[in-house]
Amino acid sequence: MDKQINENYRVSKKAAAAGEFGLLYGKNYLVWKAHLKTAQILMRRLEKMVYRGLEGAAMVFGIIGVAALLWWLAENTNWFIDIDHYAFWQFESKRLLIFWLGIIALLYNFYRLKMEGRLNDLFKVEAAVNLSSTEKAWLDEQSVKNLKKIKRINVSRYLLPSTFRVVENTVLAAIKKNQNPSIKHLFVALLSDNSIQAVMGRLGIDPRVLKNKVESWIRPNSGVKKSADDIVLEPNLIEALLDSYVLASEFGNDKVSTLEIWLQCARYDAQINELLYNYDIDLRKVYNTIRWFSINRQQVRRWHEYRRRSIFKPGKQMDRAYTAVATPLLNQLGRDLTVAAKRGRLPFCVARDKEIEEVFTHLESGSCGVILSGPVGVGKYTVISGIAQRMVSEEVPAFMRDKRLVEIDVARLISGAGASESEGRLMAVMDEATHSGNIILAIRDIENMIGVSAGAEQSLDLSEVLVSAIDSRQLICFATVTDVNWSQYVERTALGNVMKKVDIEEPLDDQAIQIISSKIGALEGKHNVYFTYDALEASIKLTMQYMHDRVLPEKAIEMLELAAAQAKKQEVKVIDKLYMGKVISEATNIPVQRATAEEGKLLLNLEKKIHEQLIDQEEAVKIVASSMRRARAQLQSNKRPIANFLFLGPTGVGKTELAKTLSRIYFGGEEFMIRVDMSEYQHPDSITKLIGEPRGNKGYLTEAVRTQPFALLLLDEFEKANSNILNLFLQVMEDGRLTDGYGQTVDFTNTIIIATSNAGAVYIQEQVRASVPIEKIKVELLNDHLQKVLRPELINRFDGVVVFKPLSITDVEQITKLMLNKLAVNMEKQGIALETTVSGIKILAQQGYDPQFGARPLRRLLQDTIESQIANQILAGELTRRDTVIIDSNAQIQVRKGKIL
Amino acid sequence: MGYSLYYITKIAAVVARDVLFFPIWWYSLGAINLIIGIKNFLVGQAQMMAIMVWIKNIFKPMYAQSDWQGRIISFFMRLVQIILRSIMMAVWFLIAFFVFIAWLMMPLIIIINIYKQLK
Repeated sequence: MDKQINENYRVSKKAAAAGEFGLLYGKNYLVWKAHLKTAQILMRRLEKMVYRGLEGAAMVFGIIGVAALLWWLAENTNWFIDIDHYAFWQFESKRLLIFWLGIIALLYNFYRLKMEGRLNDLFKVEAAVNLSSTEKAWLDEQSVKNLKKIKRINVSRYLLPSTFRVVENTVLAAIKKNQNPSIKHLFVALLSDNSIQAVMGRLGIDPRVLKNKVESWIRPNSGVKKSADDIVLEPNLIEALLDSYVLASEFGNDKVSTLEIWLQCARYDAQINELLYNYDIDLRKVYNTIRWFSINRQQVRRWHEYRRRSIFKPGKQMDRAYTAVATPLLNQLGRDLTVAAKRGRLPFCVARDKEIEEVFTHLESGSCGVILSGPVGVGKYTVISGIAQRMVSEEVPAFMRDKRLVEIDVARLISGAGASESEGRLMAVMDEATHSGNIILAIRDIENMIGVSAGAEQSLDLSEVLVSAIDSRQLICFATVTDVNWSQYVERTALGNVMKKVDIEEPLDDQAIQIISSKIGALEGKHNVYFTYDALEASIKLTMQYMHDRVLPEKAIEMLELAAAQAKKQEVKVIDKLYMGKVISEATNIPVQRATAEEGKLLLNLEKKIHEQLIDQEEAVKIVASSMRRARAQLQSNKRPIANFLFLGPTGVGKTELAKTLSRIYFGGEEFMIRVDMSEYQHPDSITKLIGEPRGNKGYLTEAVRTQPFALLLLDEFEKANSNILNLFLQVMEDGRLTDGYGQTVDFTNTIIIATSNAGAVYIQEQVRASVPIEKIKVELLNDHLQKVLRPELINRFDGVVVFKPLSITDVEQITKLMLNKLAVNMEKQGIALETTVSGIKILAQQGYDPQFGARPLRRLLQDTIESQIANQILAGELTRRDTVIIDSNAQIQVRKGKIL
Repeated sequence: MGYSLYYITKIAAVVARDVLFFPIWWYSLGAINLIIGIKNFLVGQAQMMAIMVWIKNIFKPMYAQSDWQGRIISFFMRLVQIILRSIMMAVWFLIAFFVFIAWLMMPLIIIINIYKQLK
């Protein structure tokens, strides 16, 4: 928003200082002209006060008049019994005079009310200006005078009355401090506004903090006292006000409210912008929150309009002219959606106007059947509800007016009936529908109708009946089908040919937020909780990231409902980003810190963290860490597993250990590791063990990943598996998904895949002993040894091939120490301490080291000697709490008895 | 002091103008407003009654009974409906007319009565 570099800013300094400039926007020239001198503001307010006083007095006098009449009546009619005196106008009395004067006062009040209302009406009529979106340009008033066909709009006349009052307050506050009114003054004044405070609540910040901060920037001007005529609005304040009009028009509002102005204040004042940024609020967030409010306001307006129109829709099964035929069977088997919509029983359809228009276009172009196709949970049925609502308010093409939308329940149609019987029922229903002339059919999940008993002897296809009715244009029909079933059952059938398909796409980002925010009000009312904007955004972001097998908006709405219900139980009032993350992580089985915390920090320190738990293998750790970072940086746009690794090296050098460590650090525990011994899958048939078979066992791998989508997948002795099975992993590593025997897709994009292999182990040992650098060994392995066991395209799929070098004796000493530390932690729980000596550890390491098997014999050695001895002593009662076990310099166990209490 | 006097006179003038405009409003803008309101009400009622729909469909058989008996019964049924609905509408028109007359007469009645009380 830097004026200097903005070529569309062509306002001279003089014009800017005098406030004589405006915003050219398409064919409109927006200016700010308002009487904002102190005297004028005070005059306006005084006038209003006088009127209020006058109206109040008139009201009181009117009431006194009515009371006077009642008094007179009470006195003259013997407490309302004597009927003769009811014709009071025939009598004379002071009290009756007061009554008649009182009536004049009441009528005057009525007139005042109407006059104020008329002013508002004028506002409304004028404000229905739509700006056609084109380029903006800031121009002097002088230069616009020469342009033709430009509409001048005085923005100050389009502010809501309460908003204009805020502007007045701003001016008064600035004058008090002897300053020109600026954006900061306006910003402070806005913070006391109710709707702005509501926005701040959604954004999760305290308005008082902002207010204090911005106020501290406004220092009173100690210079010469300015006269009232010298006060002019700062140019950027005018700019913000003018641009608010553009924003209001963009939102489809007919007035400028405080919300739009507030956003523009943040945009046009860099300091305020920075301040908000400190609270993790950027303009996009403010924009979306304000639009959320705007949508709510429009929804209320639309709802009133809808109620007004729906009065005229017949609420029974008949059309207005009674030409329709009664449809008893259809009424029994179906559900009248227009009646349901009239009574407000259908979900409100938001942000789907494009799809509904597409449906109408198909119908208008002569087709009689429209099928809505899309994944489960995308809102196909909501679109049908939206059509029903439009039919109630009659905002539909002419041939759909004065008609009923009836949904046929396929389950009811075929329940308790044989094939021929249900066909008979459907025919009867169709007859009724076509005959009655005012029926439009809706069929949910039409695939249920196709192949009700396909393939069997008595094969019948209910859809055939429907096809002939639609094809002969006797009937209009809507249907829904999931996209999978569309291609599987409907496409290329007769039904698929007569019906036009409309794709209902998954709403993303802004559209999804719009849909979700329309549901929040009801949810908050029901559970008495409060959602911040961040929680909404998190519900979309996190479900998009971690729930790949379902679609928006359903998955996000479900999570929001879950969060609201849980919050109510736990008596949490405000649902924020963190709470939302917690709920989603519980629902998806993904560790909390992953779903919420900053992953970046963790990845940056990955090497250090791994080395706390793993000895040496510097190169391997470095490759893993940097590959993780690389893979993760790309992942946002990529549908692959988090990372794929191939670990090469002799046995016992820490391949599995590194995998375990990674699982602990990255996922938060070893239980997030799924281990598959690939040597068990040497036969081609064993593929069913891995991914399951149709109508048979579930696959071990697919089932494990489905229940634990956020996991480390360890494929031990990868090269030993059958080559057909290995081919499966080509797809997993490339696309991040695998289809199991049941035909369900399992998502692998939240897994780290690590394959280990002993291929070339002997070669590695030989080369390392000959001091050949690891890099060179790796090249040789890739070019020669690995090619013999794995196909090159599979090797290429790995983000990193990591070669583990054999362990040296010093490494083993370190490992011994690490293992004994773990033992010490376990003993600590029983109150027994463990002390070690350096030479003792050295001896143990010597005994446990085997050049061929790495550190593997060490574990067995420690178990056989140290652990079992300690266990024996504990069982024998020789070791009790507060005792200390010492591994002495000969690697023998000594016990030092603790103090007796 | 001078300033406040200026304001007081100015506001007094504005208020006086407003009060004086009241009777003029009653017979101009006020009356027009009332007419518009009555019109909207009657249009709404007409839409509810759907008389035009019944008139347009007078020869169309009800409940799609398109045999000749059905057609005859429908015709008379529709005729009865149209007559009944027309009577309802006429009643509404009458009420609306009375309301409008009452509006016009109101100031006169009040002034006459005040005059009578003062006499």
